[in-house]
Amino acid sequence: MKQNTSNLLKRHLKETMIVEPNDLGLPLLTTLYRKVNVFFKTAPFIFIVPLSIVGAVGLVYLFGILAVRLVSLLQYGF
Amino acid sequence: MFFKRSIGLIFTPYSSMRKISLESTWHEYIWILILTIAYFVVTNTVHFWMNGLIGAFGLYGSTIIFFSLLPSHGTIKEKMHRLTKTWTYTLLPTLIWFYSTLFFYFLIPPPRTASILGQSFSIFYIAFSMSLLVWKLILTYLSIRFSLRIHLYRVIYYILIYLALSIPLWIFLYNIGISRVPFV
Repeated sequence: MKQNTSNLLKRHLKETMIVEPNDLGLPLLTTLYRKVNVFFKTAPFIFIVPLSIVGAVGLVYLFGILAVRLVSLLQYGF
Repeated sequence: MFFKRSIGLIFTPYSSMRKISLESTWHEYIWILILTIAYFVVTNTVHFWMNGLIGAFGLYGSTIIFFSLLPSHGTIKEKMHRLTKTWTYTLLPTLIWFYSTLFFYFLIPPPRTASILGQSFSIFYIAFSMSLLVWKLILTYLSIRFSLRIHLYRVIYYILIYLALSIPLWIFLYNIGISRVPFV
């Protein structure tokens, strides 16, 4: 049991360290990056979907008929 | 396992893509290639399927070769192997978008109008497309990061070079009628 847990932990550590953590040069940038990164690592759709809806509403409100034409264009895109 | 990995890419894209770069086999991601072929065969009713399929596989292969040749960790063979696994999974949002566009094309054929219904559908469709695009960008970044094992700045730099070379190619493919929206 202990051996299994130990092997699992070793495997997980090895997997986690396949890439070095990102260092953006400036400590402030790195801290900001780490704070923002958290949202992208787990269930990013939680904030992507509402932001996309807000963006889409804004786009249609600002551009009106042009946004509707864009959608028609995209629908022919397949 | 393919289904489990696909769900993982929605809920935990970072750790899922990391596992894919280490463990995934062709038995899993072959389904994405099968779905891609199926998509182009289905669209044969609208335009000739072989053109689109050749364009899609051409883009796919050239992308993998391009990123493998860039300076990074590992031999070219290792990088190509890892990229094949991870880049194939980045086609998931692409496939979802193309299949859903095909579905909406037959369900609610364009063109859209400026009526309330037209605008509502436009908002939904733009939001849907934007969500998939952001997911695609996340998966692309993770694919390059875990396949080439490079830092953020280099990933962004390589993506910019890739876009600089790809965008003219996509415009060319559009002009010769291979594809309207690039299948990347």
